[in-house]
Amino acid sequence: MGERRERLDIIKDILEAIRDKGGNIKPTHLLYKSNLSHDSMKKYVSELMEKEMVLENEDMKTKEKKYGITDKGLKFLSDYKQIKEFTDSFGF
Amino acid sequence: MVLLNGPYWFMSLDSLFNLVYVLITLLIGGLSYKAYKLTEERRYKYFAVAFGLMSIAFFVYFAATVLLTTHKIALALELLSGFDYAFLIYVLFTMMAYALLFITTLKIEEPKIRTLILTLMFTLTVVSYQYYLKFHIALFAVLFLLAYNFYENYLEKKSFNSKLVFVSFFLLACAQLFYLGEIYYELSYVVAVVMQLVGFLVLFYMLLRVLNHGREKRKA
Repeated sequence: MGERRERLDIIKDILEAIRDKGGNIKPTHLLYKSNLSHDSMKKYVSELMEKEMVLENEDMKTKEKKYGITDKGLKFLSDYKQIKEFTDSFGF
Repeated sequence: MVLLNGPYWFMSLDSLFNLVYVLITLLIGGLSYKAYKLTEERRYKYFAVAFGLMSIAFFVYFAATVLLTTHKIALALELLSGFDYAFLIYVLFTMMAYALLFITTLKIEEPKIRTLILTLMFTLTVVSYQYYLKFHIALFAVLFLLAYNFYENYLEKKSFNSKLVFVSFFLLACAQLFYLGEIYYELSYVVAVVMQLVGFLVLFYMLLRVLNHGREKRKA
């Protein structure tokens, strides 16, 4: 069984999933990619939206809801490796 | 005066080293704060506060020893009736910093135990006689336990950076024993300071590796 993911890792996984899908992802795909329960994913996404790392878009043609990544979200991903290495060194 | 220790020729160097510690602890505090801003997890905030307190402690030590060795504080000396007050401020901030580091690193969640640790470390060092002795004994105990914790982390992570953190805290713990040895042999103080300096430089090297790694990844 794998180790429990830290909050930092979960946020990174969500943002990475959006980025890897070209910056926009359907909620169902995000649920699958982030490996979270529906409620947890909703909680994390709304928190990331509050922090302006994620935004909600609507597809013009299909009218489907999609999640996009902002510059702040991309900045988080570039800082993640550094912070992860730092916190791992101290055993957090 | 408790603040001026070791041989006379070493005093200016000792003061200068404290400025190096200020910079290193500020850097660690800054990175911890960055981690807190990214995750909003309180443990990173406490970690940042702990290193912030250490910076203040080292700055107080630096400023007081510089003023004292350059003899520019006749009035301040009269007002404070000796520089033991400066040492007490240094002890207070250092003990609170390491207590916070201990609580955060060992993930002590129970508020009663947290309060007990903070109270014990405060009363055993600041509010007591012979605080030079008690300060270094208490600091040795805390640093040794922290080093042991970082050693366990190294065994788990097997990364070079976690090894550097362990080596750094082990050196800082050993330095406290040499500080105690100064009572019998003056040069022991020099060994303690050099050991502490090397400990902090190892921590600094670890930080540079972390910062460079981030930069490399961003370039890629």
